[in-house]
Amino acid sequence: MGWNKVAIIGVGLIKFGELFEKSWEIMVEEAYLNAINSVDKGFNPKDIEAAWLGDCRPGAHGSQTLAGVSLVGNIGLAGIPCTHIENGCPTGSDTFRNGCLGVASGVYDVVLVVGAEKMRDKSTAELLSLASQGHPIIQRGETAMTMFAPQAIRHMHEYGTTKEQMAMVAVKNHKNGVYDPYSHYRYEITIEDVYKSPMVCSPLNLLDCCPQTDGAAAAILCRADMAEKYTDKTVYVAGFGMGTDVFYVHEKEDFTEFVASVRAAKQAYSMAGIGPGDIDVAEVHDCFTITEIINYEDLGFCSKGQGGKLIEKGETYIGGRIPVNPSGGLISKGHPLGATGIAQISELFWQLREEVRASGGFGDPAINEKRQVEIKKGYALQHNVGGRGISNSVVTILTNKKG
Amino acid sequence: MAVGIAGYGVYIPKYRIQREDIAKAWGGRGRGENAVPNENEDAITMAVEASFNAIEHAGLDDIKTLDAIYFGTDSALDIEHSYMGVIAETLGTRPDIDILDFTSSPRASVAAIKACMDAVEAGRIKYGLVIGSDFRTSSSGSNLELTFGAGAGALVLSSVNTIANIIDTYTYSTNFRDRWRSVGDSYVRDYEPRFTREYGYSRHIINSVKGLMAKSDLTIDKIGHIVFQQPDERFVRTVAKKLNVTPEQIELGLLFQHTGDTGAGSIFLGLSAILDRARPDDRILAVSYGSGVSDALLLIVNSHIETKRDNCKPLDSYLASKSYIDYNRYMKITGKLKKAENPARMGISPLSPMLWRAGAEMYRLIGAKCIECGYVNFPPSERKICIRCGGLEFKEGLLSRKGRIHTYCINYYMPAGFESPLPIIIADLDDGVRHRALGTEMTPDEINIDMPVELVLRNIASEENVKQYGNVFRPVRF
Repeated sequence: MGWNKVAIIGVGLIKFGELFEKSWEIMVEEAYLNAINSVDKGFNPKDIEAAWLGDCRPGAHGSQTLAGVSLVGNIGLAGIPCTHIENGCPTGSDTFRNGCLGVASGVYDVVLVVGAEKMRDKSTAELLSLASQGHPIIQRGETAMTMFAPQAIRHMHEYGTTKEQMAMVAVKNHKNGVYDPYSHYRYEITIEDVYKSPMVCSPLNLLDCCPQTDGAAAAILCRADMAEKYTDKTVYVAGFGMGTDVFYVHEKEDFTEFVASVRAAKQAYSMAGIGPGDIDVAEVHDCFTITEIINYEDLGFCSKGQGGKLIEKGETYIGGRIPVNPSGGLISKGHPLGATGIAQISELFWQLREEVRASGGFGDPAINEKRQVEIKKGYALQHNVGGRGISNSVVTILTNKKG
Repeated sequence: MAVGIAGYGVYIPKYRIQREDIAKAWGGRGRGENAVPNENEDAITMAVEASFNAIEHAGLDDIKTLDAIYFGTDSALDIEHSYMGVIAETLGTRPDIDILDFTSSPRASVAAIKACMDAVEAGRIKYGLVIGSDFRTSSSGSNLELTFGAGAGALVLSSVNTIANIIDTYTYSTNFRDRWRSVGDSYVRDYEPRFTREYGYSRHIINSVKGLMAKSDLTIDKIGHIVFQQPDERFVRTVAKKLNVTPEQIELGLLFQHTGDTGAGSIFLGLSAILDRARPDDRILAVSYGSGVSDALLLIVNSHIETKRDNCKPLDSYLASKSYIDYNRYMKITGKLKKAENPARMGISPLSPMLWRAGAEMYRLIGAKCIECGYVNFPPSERKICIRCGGLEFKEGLLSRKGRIHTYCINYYMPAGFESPLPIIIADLDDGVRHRALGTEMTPDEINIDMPVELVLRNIASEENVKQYGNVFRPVRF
């Protein structure tokens, strides 16, 4: 059975978007307050013994947060330990993972994990200049796009994956985003819309890509054996894994998969004592449409090379065999790097508790509930992949089953 | 001791602008075309490719036998500091060789030949590399814009293994100002074209040629091929007529209609074009001009020219491998046309300590092969532990510069300082090593998996006048 040593007792996030009106501090405060107010039986912030903050690129994106005190010093928790995590696109999920390790170590009973990213406080020109970061010769011109797009080219070449199948991912996730009140975008698109959108990094058009989004998310974790103090509908951490791969792109051996994801998933499934067939719902890293297709394969939802067929057959839609990204995913909901992983976990927390209708008391319940998936086996999977070389991945498996 | 050319090589950029297109923008007439460097090229990167070709032609199997690099350019990039170190590190020369810059005139590179000859003759060096490379900037709409082209040539000089010997030289100089570029000027200025042609170019050349003929006890009709400095075709034809030189004598070396005025590269390119076709015992006269100085060199081809021909990348192949750009693109890649918006700072600092530590292996493309598993780690200075097997012992070696594309993408949204659209290429080199670099001179619709590509040194970034070099992939040109 699952690892189940840590329980999630509350989650909170803010509506993602281009939040020019909100400072980084305000975003974090709101997500934190939503999390503590979400605890079923009430929560006293004094119970929090330690905290972790995930914020991937504070300097590059415009917020000047630095070190753990940026979190606790801004939400009235100054005094407790707090560590700042930066780990590429899995920053949020790795922050969550570190919180789990803190509780499981026996040192802390209750901890707070917060992920946040201010991504629109810098001009587009300045954000583009990220292309000149990294090694000035070996990584010259390296941006997220230039690490994912070559995977698309190679996947198309080796497995016949098509632009249309990629576009289908964007169509699905935009449709799901309409039902998520926290989503940055809330409109449907067509395959034609994807084709007609500007070419950003061949073969990826604008609508193949996630947007630049501000956002924050928080979760409160405690020792599994004391969760009943806070809730009767506990969600447990059944397992997690983290995988890495080589640093430089030229050191990669295979451009049709993300080895880091494969490694993270293997650890997480093993820790949870389950396989891909036991997953009721997944929130995976769809920074680009091709990423989601490759994730299907890396996470074992289909065999290698069959990711394009999986979306084509509609199996990853809500109501399909394995619904993926009911929240709208990164493509529609947005990808505030530090917040993304914890926001995915929040969505799965509600899915497993079958509380999507309420969605933390936000949005129109009649619309929200359209994204509730059927919970059969009681397992949900969260996944991120990114960082230099797209060589960092975190997978988390949650469950509503106590045993 | 007879000094001569042991090997030669050239480089001409891929792009051409037709003079007619420049004339259309500003009025006037133009015929022929100018070679235009891409935005990531400059006198240094052109010099590197020409030098590789010259060294290969010379058959210098061990680059460590090269004792000197003499670099002549009129487009010196800095007043204090020279990028010659980039050339030396890319070629992989010893650190104790002669490194000399010759600047301030299109004939600077011919002065470099003379200096190198002296060093060989004195027995101080065995092999010296002399380079002439230029892309001079002109102001938009000026006469010079119609004539300025770009290119580079390189010669390996020695007293052994030569294909042609330099028999004699003669230099004639006066205090004469016709064209100039002062500190702070972004382009070359021109006083008065007719004054330059008659009193500068013609008079100086006539004096140096007559001086050399007298010194060598020859008459001009005994010379098989002649290459004059080529600021303009009309200049060349005028002086040829005055010296009773026939059109046949200048035909092989006259490249102005194909490349434009290549400045310090001019004599090198013309001479190379002649050597590509010369026969043993041909006499060749090469006559430079710039800023009130003309040098005349007399050469005689020897029989080894035929045996070394296979190692040579002929100039014709560079002339034939070309693609035309319009005036808008010409303006953009020459930096004359810039976006009005204030681009974000690129975040590149001079990076001196890093480049000092690891620049050579990146320019030169050195890999470290793991003794244990055979995986080639790159760059060696960062990989003291094999990333595949953890091995600690390595053998360093040069990576292949050619390969085929494994995968790629084309990024259409790049900040200032990058080509846009920008191809990013991941290729498997011929030696099996995987390499990632920017792509250049390839259009989005021609890039394909398995396309043959080659790594060439280019200027990949510059900020606040600090340039940074690196290798980029381009399609194999020929």
